[in-house]
Amino acid sequence: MNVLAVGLVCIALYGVLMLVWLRHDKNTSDYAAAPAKGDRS
Amino acid sequence: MSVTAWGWTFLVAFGAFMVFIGLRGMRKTLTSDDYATARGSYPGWVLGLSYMAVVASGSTFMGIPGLAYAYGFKAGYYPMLYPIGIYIGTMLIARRMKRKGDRLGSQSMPDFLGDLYRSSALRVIAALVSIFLIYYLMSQLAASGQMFDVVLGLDYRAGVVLAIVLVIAYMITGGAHADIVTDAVQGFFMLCIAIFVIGAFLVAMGVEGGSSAADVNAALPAEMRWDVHTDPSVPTFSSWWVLVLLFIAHFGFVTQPHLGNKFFALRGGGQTRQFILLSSITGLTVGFLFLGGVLGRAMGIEVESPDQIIPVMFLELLPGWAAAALAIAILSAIISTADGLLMSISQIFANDLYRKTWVRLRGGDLNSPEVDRRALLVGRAGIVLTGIVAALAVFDPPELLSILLWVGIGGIISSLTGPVFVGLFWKRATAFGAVAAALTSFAFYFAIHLGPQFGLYEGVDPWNANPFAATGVASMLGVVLTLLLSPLGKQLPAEHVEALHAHETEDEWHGTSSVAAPSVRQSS
Repeated sequence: MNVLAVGLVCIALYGVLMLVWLRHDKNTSDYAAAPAKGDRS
Repeated sequence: MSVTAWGWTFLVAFGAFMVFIGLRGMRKTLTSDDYATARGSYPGWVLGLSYMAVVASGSTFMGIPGLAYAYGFKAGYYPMLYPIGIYIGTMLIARRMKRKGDRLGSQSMPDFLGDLYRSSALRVIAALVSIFLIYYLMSQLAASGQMFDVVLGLDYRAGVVLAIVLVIAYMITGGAHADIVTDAVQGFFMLCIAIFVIGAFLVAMGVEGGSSAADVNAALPAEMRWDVHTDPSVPTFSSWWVLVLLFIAHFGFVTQPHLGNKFFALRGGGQTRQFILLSSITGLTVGFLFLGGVLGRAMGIEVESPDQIIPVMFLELLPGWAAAALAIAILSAIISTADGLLMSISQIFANDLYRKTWVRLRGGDLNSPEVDRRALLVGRAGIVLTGIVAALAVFDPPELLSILLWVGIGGIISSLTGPVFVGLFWKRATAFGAVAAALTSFAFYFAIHLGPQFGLYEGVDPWNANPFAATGVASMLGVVLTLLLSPLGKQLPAEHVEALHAHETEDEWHGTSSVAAPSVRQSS
């Protein structure tokens, strides 16, 4: 495995972590999971 | 028209643009809070580009390609791993820091720590440690000097002076607003250049008889090729565990004052996701600029200093006007980092040391218009003074930019990572734990890295020569000590902790209220 391949695998793992975070962030937010802004007002 | 003439033309256009932005920023700057944070003013995508530009800095364009030119593909581990470390750290704390910082009305990272832990001692310690940012500024000025030398034919020292004059000229007028908007525009330029360099590498542009990345690899000396992962003779890439520490060292990168205060400018906590997505994707992309250093080596280009490889390669590959345009865009990126650094250093003097420490000690009203006006003045004086000191310090060009940069910021990251990360998540963190951890981890970093770097003693390999490894262990020590020592100190008042850790309100999510919760502000 060359240096670029190792780096790209690490970046892909970060991508997975970011997707997990985005999902977690949405679930733990008080407002992100609520209806769109127009509906709330 | 010659490359030099094109370069000066683009530089004038760039300077005019900066002044224009600076003047616009000045119109938005009414209070010291506007000047320091531009609180609640920008959407996630603007701040994301701006943040990426500041994180990437001159080192991404000059220092890291320089390392790749000197050591080959293995140097790529640095720019491929460091953004991952930085953006994981950012992901962890951005939203909490924005929310808590707004509630406390904090204007900088040291100020935030002082407010969070209700500790003037911690504020002063963090402010004094943060003055190490001047090393970061020095490395940006040195990079600018080399760029002026290569592209504009200006003497290196004259280039350093011109760079600091350019930065100061518009920082004095604009403050955080000018800083953020110009950084965002420059972030866009940086992204375009990175895409060009990656493309040039993939088609082996300039490599005789080459048409693919494999041809670039084949044109390199054997020890620089992509199947060589480490080199025991190079401290930064000596082994796998050193590379892991390099990654860990960057978790706390976000605790530096010029980055930590960016979150306050987000227009509501709801913008954090957009901010993280854009900054990390673009930040990971610009890291691949190291491929330019590899390509330059494969082309057989000879340079006076490895840090000059990218501009010299542009001159070899492109028509004069295009090379000059790209070089000036890089220069603008370097200056964008320099302005953020100057901004933060000025805040250390204006806000952390003058307003929140000196005025408070004398029993003055922190929010009076008179104190606001004086804090603005102190901030502007701090910009001029710091700029002059940093320019004088690099009048003789340093050997390796990226190492010079880290000598200083390693100290900041080592001491602040524990107090910031633990304090944001743990309700039982105390001022005693944070102060003890900050001092001990800084002392540890000094003992294993700064002492040897300052020539006081030889030290132990690789800690003495590798700032990443030293910062990695020192910052982990800071986290552990904050956790272990906090129970020995006095717990923070329950109402302070509860108000800070309370859920985000709808106003905070939308950014419709940037006024801190009175109960938190009055008691901080």
